[in-house]
Amino acid sequence: MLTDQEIFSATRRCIDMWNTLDLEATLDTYTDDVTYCDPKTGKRIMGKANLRRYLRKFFERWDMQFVVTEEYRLEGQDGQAVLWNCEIKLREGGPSRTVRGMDICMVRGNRLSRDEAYMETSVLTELLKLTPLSPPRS
Amino acid sequence: MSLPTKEISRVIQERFAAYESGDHARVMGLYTVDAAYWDTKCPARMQGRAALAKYLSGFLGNFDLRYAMLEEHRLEGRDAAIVLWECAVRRRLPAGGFGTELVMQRGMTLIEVQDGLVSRDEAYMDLASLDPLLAQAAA
Repeated sequence: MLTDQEIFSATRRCIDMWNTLDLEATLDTYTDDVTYCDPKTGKRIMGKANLRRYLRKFFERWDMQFVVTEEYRLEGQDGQAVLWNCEIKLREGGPSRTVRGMDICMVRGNRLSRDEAYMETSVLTELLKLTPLSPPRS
Repeated sequence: MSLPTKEISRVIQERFAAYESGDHARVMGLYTVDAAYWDTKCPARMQGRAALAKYLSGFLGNFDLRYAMLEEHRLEGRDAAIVLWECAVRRRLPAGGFGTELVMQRGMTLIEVQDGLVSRDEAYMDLASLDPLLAQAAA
């Protein structure tokens, strides 16, 4: 079993990389066979190659700054629940909104093998309405 | 602290069963007097049974909920667990019965237990998908 510190560090590293919007650095915090989902994925994304396709589009459009507010280890597992606030805005600029959410993360080695995020997404729709869009970068 | 995991599970099972029943009094009987509540439609954390009673009366009155609990994980060192669930949501019609539109929700709830009651209940989900049903309920 991993220590609490190892589990929390793996998740923190992943969140820190999300905050940089560095796609490859973020992907490096996941295992090759990662299972990922959030309300926008529709279904679970299986594997790093599929996650790369999803995150590339997401990172092109959105700028996020996550702050971890609480983290709890899951009893008897190499996993945790992490609660966070995220300030999000379009990369083109414009207003931002703060979203609260919770992830369940499972850790293998020092990488996340499962990451499921739950949050409200209506703020994304709201921001899209508020900000004139340029086409996503190709 | 250090309730048996079985006791935490019992409270959680009752919490979801009460929400399915739509019975406001049964739901409110689950919570401690100073319970903290939040879901993704709340602008801020609600504190206390009185505030929660008012909020949930509208929610339970408008929607019929059918949960499938997918996973439950106790949090280490705490009288708490997270629950991953799916929920089929239908609008309750004012004249009785249910609307025909069914919306599936997935979410994760953090529940803390104290003295056999829920002292913290935070539900994370994407309620944007309920907007059509909310609009119908408000009409």
